[in-house]
Amino acid sequence: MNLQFIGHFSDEAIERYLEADLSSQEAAEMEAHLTACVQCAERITTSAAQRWGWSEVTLSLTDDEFDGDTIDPSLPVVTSLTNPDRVDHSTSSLLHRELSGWLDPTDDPCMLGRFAGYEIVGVVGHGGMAIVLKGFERSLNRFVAVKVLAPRLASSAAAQRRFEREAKAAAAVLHYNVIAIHRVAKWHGLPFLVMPYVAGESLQQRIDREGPFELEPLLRVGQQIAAGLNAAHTLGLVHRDIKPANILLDQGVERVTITDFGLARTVDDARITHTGLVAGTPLFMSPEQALGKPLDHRSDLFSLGSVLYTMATGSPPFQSDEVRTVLTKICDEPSPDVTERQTSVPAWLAELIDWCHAKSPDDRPQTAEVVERYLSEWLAHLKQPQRTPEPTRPLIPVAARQRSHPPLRWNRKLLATVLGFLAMMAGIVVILESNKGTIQIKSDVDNVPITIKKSGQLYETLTVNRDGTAIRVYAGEYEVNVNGEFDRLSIHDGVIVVGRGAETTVSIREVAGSSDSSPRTEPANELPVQSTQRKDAAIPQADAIGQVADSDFATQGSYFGMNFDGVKLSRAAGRNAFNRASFVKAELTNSKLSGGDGGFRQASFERAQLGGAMLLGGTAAFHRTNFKNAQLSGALLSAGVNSFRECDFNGATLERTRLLGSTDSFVAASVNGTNFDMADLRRIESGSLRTWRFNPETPPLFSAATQLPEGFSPIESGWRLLELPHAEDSQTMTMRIVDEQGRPLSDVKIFQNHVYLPDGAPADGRHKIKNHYYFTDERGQATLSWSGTSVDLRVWVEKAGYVPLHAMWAADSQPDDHEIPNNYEMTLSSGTTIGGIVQDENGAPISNAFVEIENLSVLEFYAADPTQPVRRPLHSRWLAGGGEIVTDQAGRWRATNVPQGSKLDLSVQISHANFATNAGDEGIPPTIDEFRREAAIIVLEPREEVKRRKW
Amino acid sequence: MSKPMETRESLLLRLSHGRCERAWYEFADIYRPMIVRLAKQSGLQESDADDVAQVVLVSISRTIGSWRKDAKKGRFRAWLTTVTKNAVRNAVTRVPRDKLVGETQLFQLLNDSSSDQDAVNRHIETEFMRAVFRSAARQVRTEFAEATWHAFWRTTVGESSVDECAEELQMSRGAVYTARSRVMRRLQQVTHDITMEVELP
Repeated sequence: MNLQFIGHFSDEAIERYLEADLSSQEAAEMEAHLTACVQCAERITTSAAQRWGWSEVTLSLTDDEFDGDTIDPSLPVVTSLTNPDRVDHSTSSLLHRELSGWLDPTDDPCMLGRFAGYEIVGVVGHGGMAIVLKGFERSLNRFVAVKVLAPRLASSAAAQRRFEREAKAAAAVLHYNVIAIHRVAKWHGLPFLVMPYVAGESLQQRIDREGPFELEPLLRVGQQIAAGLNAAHTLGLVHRDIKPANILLDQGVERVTITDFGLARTVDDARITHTGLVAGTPLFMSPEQALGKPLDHRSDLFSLGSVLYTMATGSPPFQSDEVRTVLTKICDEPSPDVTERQTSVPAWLAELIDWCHAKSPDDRPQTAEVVERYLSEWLAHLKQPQRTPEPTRPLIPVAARQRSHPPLRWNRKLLATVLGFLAMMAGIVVILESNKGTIQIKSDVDNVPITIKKSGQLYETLTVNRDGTAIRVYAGEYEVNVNGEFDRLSIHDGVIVVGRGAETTVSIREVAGSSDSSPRTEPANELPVQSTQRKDAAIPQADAIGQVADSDFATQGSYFGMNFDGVKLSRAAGRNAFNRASFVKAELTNSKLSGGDGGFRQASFERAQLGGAMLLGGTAAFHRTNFKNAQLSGALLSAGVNSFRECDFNGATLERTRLLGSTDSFVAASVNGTNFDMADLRRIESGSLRTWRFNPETPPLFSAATQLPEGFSPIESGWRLLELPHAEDSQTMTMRIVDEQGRPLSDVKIFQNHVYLPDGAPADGRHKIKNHYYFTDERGQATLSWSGTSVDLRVWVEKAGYVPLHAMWAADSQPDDHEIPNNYEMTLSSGTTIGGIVQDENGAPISNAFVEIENLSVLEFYAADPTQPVRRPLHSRWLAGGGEIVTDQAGRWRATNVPQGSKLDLSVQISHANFATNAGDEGIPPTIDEFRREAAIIVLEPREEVKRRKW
Repeated sequence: MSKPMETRESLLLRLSHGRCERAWYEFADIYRPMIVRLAKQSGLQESDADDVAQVVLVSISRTIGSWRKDAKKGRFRAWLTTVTKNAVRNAVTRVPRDKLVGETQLFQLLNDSSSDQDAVNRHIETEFMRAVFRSAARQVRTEFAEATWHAFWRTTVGESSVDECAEELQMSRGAVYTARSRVMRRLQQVTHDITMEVELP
């Protein structure tokens, strides 16, 4: 085709060229022609801008003084929130376009390019957030899957953080059934993670190919998914996108691998696109996901139910052509009966699926482990029916069964099997169903009128009898009383706290020896009453069931000073109960200790095993309780107002422990050497956890994996003004910030507002003002410096930091030992706030790095009229805290008050970094020396321009 | 050949469906910077301006459910303009005078009841267009290779000539013309799509 006429290109050719619709030959001709022909260059310029003129567009894109959202060409890629799935219109070409700039050249012609040292073979897939590449790792001669944050999200700090956080969390899961993460790192500023490349097919592909599963392989797969989920859930990680496409089958059904952990939906949670499409498939979502509510691990169990259903029947349970209808069905409609679709599905499996499909997470199995155990028990039973008994059916809450079955009756046989102790008590059980929590009321006798009060207000009146009565209660504190005079009845655990998803027991008992008591078995767990008994006394170590399970130990004020050393205990509660009780070395793994108001005060759990236990504190419970050297891994400590004060956690292990606290809890705890690795402290309310006590020599262990509450501060929030005495001559001043008890506070942000006369200036010369931030070290110290004569020095202390993180410092390391010698230079343009993170190659933050910012003087300022640029240099007055900035415990530094519209040339230098926050294998944090310095990374926020340079 | 025109539901419709987080992102991506600018032009400081934007977006999110597909075209824009105007005016009046960064022309326009409302509306529409262009640019930016975008940027905002740019980027003049024109073309398409959605003229 001849595109040219009379020496010029036709309008049509230009149009097609603009749309990149010419052959490469033609395009090359066109390009060459445009280089030479001014006329055609003019024409293409005109036809490119038909609706709006070049000047209008240019003017709009030029920043003026009112713009905060600069569209700066120096940025690698700008986030496009406008239309993230523009990818759709020409997915592959755009993918390549999106990616091409990020791949390094390769000398292997078979490869697309290199990424982070991996030879990229091709694109495996892409989602809303990430692109998955198939890569080849030469050194290990293996294929890997490289998952890269989509470049268009690379400039979104939030997306980056989320990707990295989730990637690291996923990497922490080491389980046979969860895809391994070889590496989490960044390349050219793009976070990525490397996984094994699994060549097998996905569960979805298998179902598409072969239809429904037979029972045994179904159980095998289901059990492995549950096992993998359990491993992840234990670490607090929620998958969020459990679906057959994310389950890989290797070697038949022998090895099931869950992929995409925690990544798939981090950005596009249940987000409905403009075409009405949910990003990703909604078919396996849980109701809380569909509604965009906060979700926890139990959401995955709903999805697991859907996966089991799909395996059993060949298609998902909630189906429709309309996404919206699918979501509605998930949220509102009862789950379909799997046995209707596939009659061969046994009832016990249908029950499990229904259980998982309970609309309220509280009504589902509470852990994946429950599901796993159930499936593997059935699997064992199916394979060897003679040797292994038929597993106990799960105790499925009424709400989960509302679909097609009549509400499950609490038949005594079932209960007796599961909760063996009931058989001995000869009582009945009423289950109060709650979408938040459950109160069980047990009674020895019939027709007991009881009242339930909440916050002193009457909440419900009901009669406990053999037919049972069901009401729903919300989480909170309830008081249960027998209504009227029944002198032969006593209420145990009169005041209870019902937690979310928790089960709390109240018992009504006949008092022994009462005139009208029906015959009953003496509870096997009757406790000794003398307070001085040792553990060889009458406290049973175990009974017929294997443990003193669910014993109703407590009444108000009971068991004061009792000795439970070495006892296995699974439930105990009551107002002021267990004060000064001793549980030294007690085996309380997975126990539930519910301290009523004032319960468990000054009790001792020294060296006790409380792994996985639940310690619930009512108001002012667990005061000065001794947990010295106790093992609390994976436990849940839930504090009511003013609980857990002045507890002694010295040497205790609180690994993966969750501490939930209302106001003023966990105050003034002793935490010498306490291990908080991976503990979750995020849900501790303000005012809690402050003024922790520890000796700097034996600091508690907080690792990067410890999740601290946002904005958490060991000192009272708000600013304090410390008026320091004028120091006329000295030019440095070391100040020490301590709490009211004289204990040092680290990471306190100090703002120095300082007027001084420079050296050599005449007495009436011009004053200089220095505004500067410092952070205190783990000794609570910070050294303020200036040069000249101080005229006025004021120091504001701002709420900041956490006490213990700085204590991660290896005891023998000194701050100045770890200088990082070389400059680290970079240039960025900025809005009003700039800042960055200094981190090691693994992304672990390096705190107390001194970040020096230089070359600040070249600034440009535009006048309101962009056509008339007025450029005037501003001097380095722009940075509050300019010059030297110290990274905080998160490795972060930040400079504010960069004037609007400024452009600045900035270089960052790290003069030295004190220590890193990553704990080594022995629990001793490595010093910066131990990190590979050449791999240190500085990330700038909010623009996230990243440069790596060898130190 | 032009790219197939994507048929989308109006952004407004999607917004009014509620629970459509994505539509909100799109909307806020355009609208938030615009309100911030208007607020700053009225003399507010950055952080206060951000607050105003938040307030306006929240109020829109509350009322938008009442807008329906069959509402007369163009009315949404008029309504949005009014809401914006009022919100900015209210916000500015609430801020103590001494915190304002000088009295601006917009401030006077907004606060003087006798002022020409058409002028205010025109100003707001100009700002709308500006916000749309910028939003479109953020999107288009991701669709092109680095060099292509740079060629466009330098020859427009960067005020370089095509020759200078060709030299800087080591491209032929033709390549620079190609690059900047293609970006401009795409920018026009995206801008047009967005204006259709938010019912701008």
